[in-house]
Amino acid sequence: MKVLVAEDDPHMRRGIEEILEGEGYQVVAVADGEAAVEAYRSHAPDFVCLDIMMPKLNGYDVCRVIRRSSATVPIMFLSAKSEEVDKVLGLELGADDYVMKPFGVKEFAARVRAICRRALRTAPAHEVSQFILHDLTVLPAELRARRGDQLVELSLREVRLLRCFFEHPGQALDRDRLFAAGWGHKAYPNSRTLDQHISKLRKKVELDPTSPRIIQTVHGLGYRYEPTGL
Amino acid sequence: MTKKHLLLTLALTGLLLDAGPARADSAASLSVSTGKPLLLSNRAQRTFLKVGLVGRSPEASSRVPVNLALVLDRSSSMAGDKIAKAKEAALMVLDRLGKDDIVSVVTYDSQVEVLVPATRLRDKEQLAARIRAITPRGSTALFAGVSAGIEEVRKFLDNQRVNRVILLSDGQANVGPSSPNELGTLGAAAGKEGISITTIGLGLGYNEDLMAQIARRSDGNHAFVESAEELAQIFKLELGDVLSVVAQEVSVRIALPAGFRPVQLLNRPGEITGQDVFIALNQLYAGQEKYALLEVEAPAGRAGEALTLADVHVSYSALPSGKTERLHEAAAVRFTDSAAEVARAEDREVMVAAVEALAVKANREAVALRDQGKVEAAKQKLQDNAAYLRSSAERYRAPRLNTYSTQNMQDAQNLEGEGWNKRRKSMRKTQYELDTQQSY
Amino acid sequence: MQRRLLLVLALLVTVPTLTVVTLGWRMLENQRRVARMELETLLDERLADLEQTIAAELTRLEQDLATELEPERDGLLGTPPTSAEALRQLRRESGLVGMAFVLDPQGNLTYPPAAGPRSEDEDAFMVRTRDIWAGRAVLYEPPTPEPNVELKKRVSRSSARIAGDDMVSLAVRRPQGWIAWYWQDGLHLLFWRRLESGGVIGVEVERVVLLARILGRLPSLPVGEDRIVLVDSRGDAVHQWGPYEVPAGEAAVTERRLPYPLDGYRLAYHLAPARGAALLGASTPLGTLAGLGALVLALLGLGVYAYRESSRQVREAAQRVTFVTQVSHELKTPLANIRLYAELLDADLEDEGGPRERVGVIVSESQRLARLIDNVLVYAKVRRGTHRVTPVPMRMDDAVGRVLTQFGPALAAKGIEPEVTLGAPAPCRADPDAVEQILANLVNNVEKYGASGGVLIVRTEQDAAVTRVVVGDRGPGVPAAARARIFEPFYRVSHKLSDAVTGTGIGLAIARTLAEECGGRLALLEDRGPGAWFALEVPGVREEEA
Repeated sequence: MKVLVAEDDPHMRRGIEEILEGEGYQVVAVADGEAAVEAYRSHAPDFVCLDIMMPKLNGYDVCRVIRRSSATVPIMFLSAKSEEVDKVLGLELGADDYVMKPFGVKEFAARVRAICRRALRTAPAHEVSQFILHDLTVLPAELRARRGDQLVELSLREVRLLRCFFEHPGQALDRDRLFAAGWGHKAYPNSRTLDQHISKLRKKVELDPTSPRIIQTVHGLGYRYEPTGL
Repeated sequence: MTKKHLLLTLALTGLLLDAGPARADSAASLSVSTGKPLLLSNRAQRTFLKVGLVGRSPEASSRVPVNLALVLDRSSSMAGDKIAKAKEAALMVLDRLGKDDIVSVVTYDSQVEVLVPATRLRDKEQLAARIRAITPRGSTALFAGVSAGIEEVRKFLDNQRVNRVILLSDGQANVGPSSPNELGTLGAAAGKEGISITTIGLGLGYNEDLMAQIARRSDGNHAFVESAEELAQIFKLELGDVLSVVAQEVSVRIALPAGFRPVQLLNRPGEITGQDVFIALNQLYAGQEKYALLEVEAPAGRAGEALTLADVHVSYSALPSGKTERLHEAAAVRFTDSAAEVARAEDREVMVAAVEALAVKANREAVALRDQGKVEAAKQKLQDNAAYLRSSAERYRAPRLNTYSTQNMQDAQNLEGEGWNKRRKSMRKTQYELDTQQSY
Repeated sequence: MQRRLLLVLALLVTVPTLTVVTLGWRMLENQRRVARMELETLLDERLADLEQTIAAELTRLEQDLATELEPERDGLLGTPPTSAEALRQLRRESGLVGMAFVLDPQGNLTYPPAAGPRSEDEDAFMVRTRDIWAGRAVLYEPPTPEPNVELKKRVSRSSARIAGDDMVSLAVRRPQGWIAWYWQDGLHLLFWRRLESGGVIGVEVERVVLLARILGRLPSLPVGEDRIVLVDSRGDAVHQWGPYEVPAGEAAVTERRLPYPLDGYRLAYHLAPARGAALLGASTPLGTLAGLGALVLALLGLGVYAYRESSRQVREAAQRVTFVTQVSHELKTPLANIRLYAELLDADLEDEGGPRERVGVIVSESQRLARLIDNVLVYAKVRRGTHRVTPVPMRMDDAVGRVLTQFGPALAAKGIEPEVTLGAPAPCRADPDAVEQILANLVNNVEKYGASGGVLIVRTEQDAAVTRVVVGDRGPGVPAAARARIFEPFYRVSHKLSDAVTGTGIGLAIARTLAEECGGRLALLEDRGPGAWFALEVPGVREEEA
């Protein structure tokens, strides 16, 4: 999924980019309102994240422009302005959510996931609605997984990684393979990044992350899902 | 008038009885004549008595000093050309006077200002400056202005000076007494003291009845000046008169013997008390004749009978000596049966004067009719008057009667419309001029 | 606030101003009245002077007349002018004399002659005076001489019917005198003088001439800018002195009647307005007015100053609030980055316990700073009256969860164990941001003041109408004396310097305001045993939202 981020503060922009990429989104980041409109036209993102106070065109104006061509693309405002008037105005203009700075990474990620889930629900269901890894049922459209009555929040990337393991059961998947699945071919994160992600994912999906059962380590090569590895 | 002339007059009439002592050096000469020296016998009838006085011609060497008050209207209606020309005229008068003369200048509007109190004319320039500084304002307190003028002259009232007020006005008196009668009374009071008031009406806004009354009752002159341009000329003429006065305080007493009855004075105010007639003139001017006409009813007389018609005594104060001089003349009539003789003996000069005086009376009556709104009657009166004058002119071969006849015809045609106001003023002026034998 | 201030200031200025002006006006009125009376007296004196002058002129004329009527004792003729001829001559020569007359000792006219020739004027005189000689005319006699009596106090002229013989008998008492009567166009005057023979000789005086003689000698008077008018019995102006043109209908300041026999005339004094003001202002209110004006100006100045000063303060306060708001907003951007990067760093740190703990401190401190900033912003907006909340359906338990998550590390650091009982999963109606801020303030208080109790109790419960959150601790609680005031801004229970706990003192005030704006309430619960207990209640969702 492609996300357009318009934010004039470079650190904030970089930070958001990192969070969204960490979640598995492809991010187009711009620094002002005009660039946002242009990027929206050229990249047709699935999701837009707009700062309000930006040079050239402010977030509200960008929102108005986008809404003229698409009534459904999810839009999320980011702002330091806590004025309730802004909130109301933003929602009236057709924004889907409103996040106030400063915000926490987890909170932001959760909000993004919530919006993304809505988008996935309305999108054509070309994917399987669920797949099972051992005792874990993964619900891709929900960006969640279920074990018993316990729900686990997953990022888009995590869903993709889990799907990759599910589709190649018993195979040792090398880093490139996993990169391609979770980050796409053009991205080349270092191996440490992958390890961190796997570590985080294990904490979410494994019953005991210290002796993982679903995602097992293949030393020197990568990782492997062993369906019968019970 | 010389003795020779006087004798000639007597010879011509052939009627002069008891010729008085006519002295060659007297300031005036007296002539008494009757229109009809011959009367038809056996019937009572009327004739005219003319008492004429002529001032002696001036001596080049000296003139009588004057005591003159200029009373000038400075009300706001005088603004512009009028006040400028009036000031010019006043300055001209100043210029013509000398250091023995006494001059005062009074201006009036709603109040009165004695601009120059009566004083000997020593510092002309200072006086001139004050006159030049006059600016028009306010309304017209004519009564008070004239009063102040009279009072200034009274300060130096002197029978060896010509005492005169010259009043210039362009407007109706609207502060203080303002009827012709009241102002006339004021004029008469001045006249009694030997002060004549000459009234000059300027433009078409003044009250000619009032102005004429003041002049008549004080024996001054009266002039109507339509345009301010003429002011200087009028003042010059007036000053000429003033400077040519040879006698003042002239009183004329006419005594009619029993049987004769004085009917009326034709052209001048006077008193008729029983058989006595009294006429006062304030002054005589050099070389000018002033006369009074008395209509007399004569008793029925027998043919051939001669009766004294009137004894005339005149006294006056001669100038510059201030001495009182007396003159005496008498007039007589004879009776005849011949109407032709009566007609032949008629004194044309007296008759012409009488016709003129009667015509003036008729002219005045026409104005009164017109004032009452009886325009047609007035017109008729004037036309009749003109016809009367025309026929008399022919009868007495007197062209000046024709002149007045023509004027009466013109008067008859100007009784209405915008021209009437101006015409009335000129009628008043002519009436006055003819009645008083005014020189201008 | 601004408007009320303006009103108070306006009252403060206008009330004393009006009082001063009213009192000053009264005082001026009094001064003016006194000045006017003084002025009237002054002007009346002027008129009296003029009247005296006229009276003197009249006396002089009277003497002239008397002389003319006086028999010439040492003259050549030696005869009094009683003959018709002499009387006629008198009339011809004297401008004042309209006609003369003589009465014999029996009061019969000997001139003008009853029989015998008379002139027209004599006839007219006889017609005019017929009623007098027949005793039918009402004549005016002079009053008993009362010089300088004010017009108002003067009695009306005595009048009597007098015939010729009465005149003769008058002459027994007085040597000469005036008689006036009205005939046709106005007042006529007779002046008479006793004859030694016992009869009376008299003249009819030309009134117009008499007037002219008097006025002719008084053409100008030092009237200044004013005007004196001589008015006749009909009210018409006969003569005027002074340049002031009197508007029609203007009443004279003061009037005075001329002396007999001209008492049909009166003198009226009209004061030129400019001069009137100048004269009235001898003690002119100028000084007083200036004082008054200065006072009023001072009051006004004070009012304006006070108004400007207060508006300046209000403006400055507004500017301060704006400044605080602006700064707070500006603080948020770097704060957002600090928190964001701290959390990103935390994610990078995997399992490295020590560094992660430190990053946790950075995160929780940045959260605290954000809360402080939010409190300041809300407080500023509440003060400005621009604060709004947007109540929407929300889940109270979620909000509690979010706040506790946020406070987790801080509470753990203080050794406070949360005891959470969630019982409000159904939606209620409130502004989620506002609720979180309220809860954050409450939990923050527990963290700050109630740490000694070692526990944070949070309990949610709900029914259809109300959703309630109770936040409590087992700390020292709120002292009884402070309970009434803890919701006031800037009130702090302890001000002791030694008190290690800090705070801005606006947290609870804001929390309560937010609760009330959401349509709920925030209260301090009592009788819950030790510790401080607060309850937040918000309304349930509306039916159409349910």
